[in-house]
Amino acid sequence: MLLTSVIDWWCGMRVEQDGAGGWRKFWLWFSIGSNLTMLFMFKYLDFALGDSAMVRWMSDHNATAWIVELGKYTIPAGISFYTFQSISYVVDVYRGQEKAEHNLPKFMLYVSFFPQLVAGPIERFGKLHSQLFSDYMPRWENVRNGARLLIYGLFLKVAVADNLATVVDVFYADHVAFTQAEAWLATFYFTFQVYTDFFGYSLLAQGSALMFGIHLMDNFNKPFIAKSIPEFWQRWHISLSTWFRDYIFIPVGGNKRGPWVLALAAMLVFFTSGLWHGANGTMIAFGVAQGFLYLFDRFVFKKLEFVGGHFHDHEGRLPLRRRLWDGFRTVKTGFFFMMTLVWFRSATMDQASEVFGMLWMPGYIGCRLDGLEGIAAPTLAHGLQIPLFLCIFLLLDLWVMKDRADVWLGKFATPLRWMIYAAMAVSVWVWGGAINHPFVYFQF
Amino acid sequence: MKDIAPKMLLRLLVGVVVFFAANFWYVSSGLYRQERAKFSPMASKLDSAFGNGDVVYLGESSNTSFNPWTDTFGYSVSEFLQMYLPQNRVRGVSHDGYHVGLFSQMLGLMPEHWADSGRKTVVITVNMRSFGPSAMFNGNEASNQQEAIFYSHRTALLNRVYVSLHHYDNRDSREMERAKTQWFRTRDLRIGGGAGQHYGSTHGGPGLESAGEEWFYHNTVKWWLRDLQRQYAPVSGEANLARVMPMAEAYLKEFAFLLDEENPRVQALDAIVAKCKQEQVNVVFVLLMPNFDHANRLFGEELTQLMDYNMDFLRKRFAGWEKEYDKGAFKVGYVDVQRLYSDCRLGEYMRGVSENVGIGTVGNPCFDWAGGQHYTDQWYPTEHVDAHIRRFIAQKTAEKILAFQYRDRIQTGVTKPMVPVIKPSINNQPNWSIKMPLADTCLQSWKVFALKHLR
Repeated sequence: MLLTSVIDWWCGMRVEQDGAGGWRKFWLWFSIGSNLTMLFMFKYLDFALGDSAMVRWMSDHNATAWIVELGKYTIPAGISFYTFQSISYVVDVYRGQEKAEHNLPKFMLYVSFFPQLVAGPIERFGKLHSQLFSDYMPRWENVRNGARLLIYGLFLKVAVADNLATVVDVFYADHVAFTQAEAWLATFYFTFQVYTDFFGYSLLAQGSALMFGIHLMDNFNKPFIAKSIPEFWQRWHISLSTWFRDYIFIPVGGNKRGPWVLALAAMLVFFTSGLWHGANGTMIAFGVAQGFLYLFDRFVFKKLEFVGGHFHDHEGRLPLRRRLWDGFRTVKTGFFFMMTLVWFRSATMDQASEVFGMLWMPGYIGCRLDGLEGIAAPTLAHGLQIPLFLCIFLLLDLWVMKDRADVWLGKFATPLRWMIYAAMAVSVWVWGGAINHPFVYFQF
Repeated sequence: MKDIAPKMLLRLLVGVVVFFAANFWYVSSGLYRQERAKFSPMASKLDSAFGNGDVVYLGESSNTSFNPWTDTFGYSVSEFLQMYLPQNRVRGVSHDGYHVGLFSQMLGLMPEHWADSGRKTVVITVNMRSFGPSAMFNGNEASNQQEAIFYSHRTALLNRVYVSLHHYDNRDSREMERAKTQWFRTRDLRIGGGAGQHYGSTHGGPGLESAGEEWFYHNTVKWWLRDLQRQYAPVSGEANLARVMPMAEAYLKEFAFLLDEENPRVQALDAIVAKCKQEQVNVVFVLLMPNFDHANRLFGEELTQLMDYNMDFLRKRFAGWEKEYDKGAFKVGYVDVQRLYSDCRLGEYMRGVSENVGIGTVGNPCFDWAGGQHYTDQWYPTEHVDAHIRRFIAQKTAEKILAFQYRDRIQTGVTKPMVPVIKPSINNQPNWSIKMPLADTCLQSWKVFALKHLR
């Protein structure tokens, strides 16, 4: 991170000072190249080299063996996030949208701002930098709202996501031992595990930053009410989606140069997104599948819009036919996303294929002969909290909570609000998931 | 800031009240009892042991393991110990894969003023292997540490919060694997920093032997394993090299290390003595004997000298404590199973009262260690021994405890122990087809790594 920061800080200044001409472009690509090289070294080298003669040679020599170990076992915390954040800075300076930061410590603080360092949101220089170095005045509203976000984020991570993980982990540890119904349950649970896990982390990051008076961007906006995959990605991991939009999709051509360029740009974005998530076939498959679903919605499903009929009746309300159609599209979008997450969670392509087989082969009963004991039938004492917390979250996320958690909680009278706080706290204290499960996005 | 501080303090205060109210409900509803039993089954066993025992035996799998086909008696060491100490209530608490780090934490459940109701003793089994990287960076350690949260008298809900927020050493298998690999690569195996001739990058290259060098020891486990993979390792005996390889690999990973003061398990020993001294509870360390016999067959002196070094390191520590606390009311003792057993059998042999059974093997005429046939896990590097040795361990531990209780013995008299006589018998033969039944979780992945990178 130190090296990345120094290179990008230097390149940013050179890009600004060299005026027009080839050197600006050189420094821009030098910065991008060094960032991507660093990312490649830590995340993709092991995947790319595999079991080559060079790796064996490096392992056999003490001077180089540590590099193999480093590539194999070590990923600097948040490398995928701060690399993208740093690249966006140099590109923005190149485009003239931002002025270069001449003070190295200040630039390093932008890259390494602790709440969002490990797993985002990926903030843009203009927004974060101006807040970091404006006059700081502690405000009670910020502390209070930050604390509210922390409580809700902790509830999502510990009470909802970690509990769901107890089921999902058991299933994926030995998937062939389970039945078809359990495979569906684990797939459904994982969808909301990854959502609440990452959403929870984003809220914790926002809450921590807000307590210091820094407003970070919202990373999620009710993705499971999206009616299409394009809309879904405008609501899910927003900071990454907008990064891809601004720095890959639009520069490649976006939607202004006809359908073929759009398709190419979209596929490039989703392929890169898959690769960003991890150096293995399953993540690439996840990204490519998202790309195809994006194009399917954009070019094929859009033509079926007539099925929903009019958007308004003569009184200006949404007609029942339109509501049903929209509901169907929402369910369809969530369902397709859920299916692609099988690749996201599986350790190997083989495992993903087998899980798909379990989900879709008619009459699959698996190897277990003892019915639905285990994960599908949690005991009253230790298992009912899993569906209960999930239902509470879905109710809040899809229906009740119209604003961000801090604003929503602020609308309640003090006694009721404190009862909600206490309920969330007790859920975390007493029913938090016991399996040691780090944040899903920490691995990226 | 002035207007913020009181508001924050008020809310923190309310939070604390909510916490203690929740704690009251958590305990009184019986939920804590259920959860404690679920997350830490050992904790309730410890409560019972400390509540009802005069001697609490904290052991790992070697306490209870026996061979159902060949062992004459299936009694555990602690059960034998009860037979030797009829005046004492002996309570055994054992768990597979436990070690002194966890035993140290377990003492957190020792009741305050436990020793006030009479002389109490804690017996701690010490397994030298558990001080090494393979045991310390074991994939099960995170769950052990989670369980250990409950070995404490802290507020009930706080224990549960620690579980929810994973407030313990919760390194995952990847992190453990990395730590272990790093240890294997970097830790120097040279005793005293330079004794013997060591090499790393090559093994037995042309000219080395002709140069007259006698010993070609490995600097690190990594190079040793690599040579093993290359089938250059000096494996003795007639066993097929490929078939013995997994076993040899396991022995290297389990025993090829050197103890030092920085070792966390060594520091746990210090903590045990400090805690027992504070509570005035006697402590007896039982230093289990590793399978030197088989280690010698696999690697000869190169490995056994490391094992000897580590055993001596622990012996010196225990002997130092034994001497230091010899005079006061608080006592520390240790039972060196390997030495005591060898002495005992050697004595019998010299007196001609017993056959030389179970001591030396070919190439081990000096009676330094027990024969490998006493180990019940088919020569895997565990310390699981047959009933004959288990009884012997109990006997020697009982003698040590009785020596502590000498005054009590005079007052109460000693009942003759009702202990079955177990003659040693050869009950296990080497099984070279073994598939590593008790391999640690990282072993297999290391093998993949080694196959990929160390050939």
